[in-house]
Amino acid sequence: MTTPILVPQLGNEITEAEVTEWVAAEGDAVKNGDLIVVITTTKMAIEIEAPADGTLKTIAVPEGDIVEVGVTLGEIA
Amino acid sequence: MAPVMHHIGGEGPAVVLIHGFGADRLGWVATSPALLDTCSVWAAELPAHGTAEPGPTTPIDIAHALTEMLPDTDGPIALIGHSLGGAVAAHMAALKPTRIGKVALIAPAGFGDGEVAADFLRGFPKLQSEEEALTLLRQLVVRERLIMPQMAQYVLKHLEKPGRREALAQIAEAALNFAPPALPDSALIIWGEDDTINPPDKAWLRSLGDQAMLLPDTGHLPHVEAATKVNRKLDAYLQA
Repeated sequence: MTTPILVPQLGNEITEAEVTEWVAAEGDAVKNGDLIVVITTTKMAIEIEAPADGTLKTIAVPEGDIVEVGVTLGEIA
Repeated sequence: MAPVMHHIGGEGPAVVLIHGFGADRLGWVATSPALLDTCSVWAAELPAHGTAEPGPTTPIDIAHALTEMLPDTDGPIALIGHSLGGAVAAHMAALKPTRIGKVALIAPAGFGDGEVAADFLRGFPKLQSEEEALTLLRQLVVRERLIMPQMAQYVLKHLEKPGRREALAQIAEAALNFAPPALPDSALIIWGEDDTINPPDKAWLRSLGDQAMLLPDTGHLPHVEAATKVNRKLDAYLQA
């Protein structure tokens, strides 16, 4: 079973963000709540935590890319 | 006209977010989505911040102006104030005790150990370069990756609007010299242990027990640096 890592809701005014840093690498073991990736809006940066225990199986969006709310950034298996 | 009140969304009891010095409503980007399922969320913008024109400069005068703009709701209104916005929220609770219900204060001005970073407050309105802005803004956090060049550019762009530098300099001086409001009854207080902008009075916070949350490895922006923990605590406090 895989769990997607999603760009969270960012309020009603912000619809996209830049992936600024993957703190974990593909193949790393992660625990639910671990900091895994940082995204930056027009203003603030937001730390996204692993939504489940497991291994970071896929990084779907590389650093520097702009993503919309709800997009899958990667997967934990 | 200043300040400004924005409706962010959601349905339920009203909660008003009040940002700190130099911030604006978008500073709540990691907070407001967590409240939208249970609350009608409003975000104030203090004078000379965000979309608000310059106006009152002292915490008490800003509080007077904001109490005139509270959402028109039946039940009590909750306030969540950060830093300067915390002092404003505490004043508002004293001004309108029948309209204001719960009050959550995050690193509130006037309640720290007295060693406020004057260089930060006085330096902010004078920022000119991205490098200068990044260095100053990174004082806000323990983990510097949370303050990216986008934020520095955003701040510099705002400072170029007419009258903002002058108004912010006045607000900074007022924030360094004001009589702290009384702590609202049953207020929740959240603070970062490593806050160097408005350092916490740790002994006092520990004496408050469950009424206070002191977060390790966290600077002046607990609602950003420890967003998950802070959101959980705010939700429990507001729903209790």
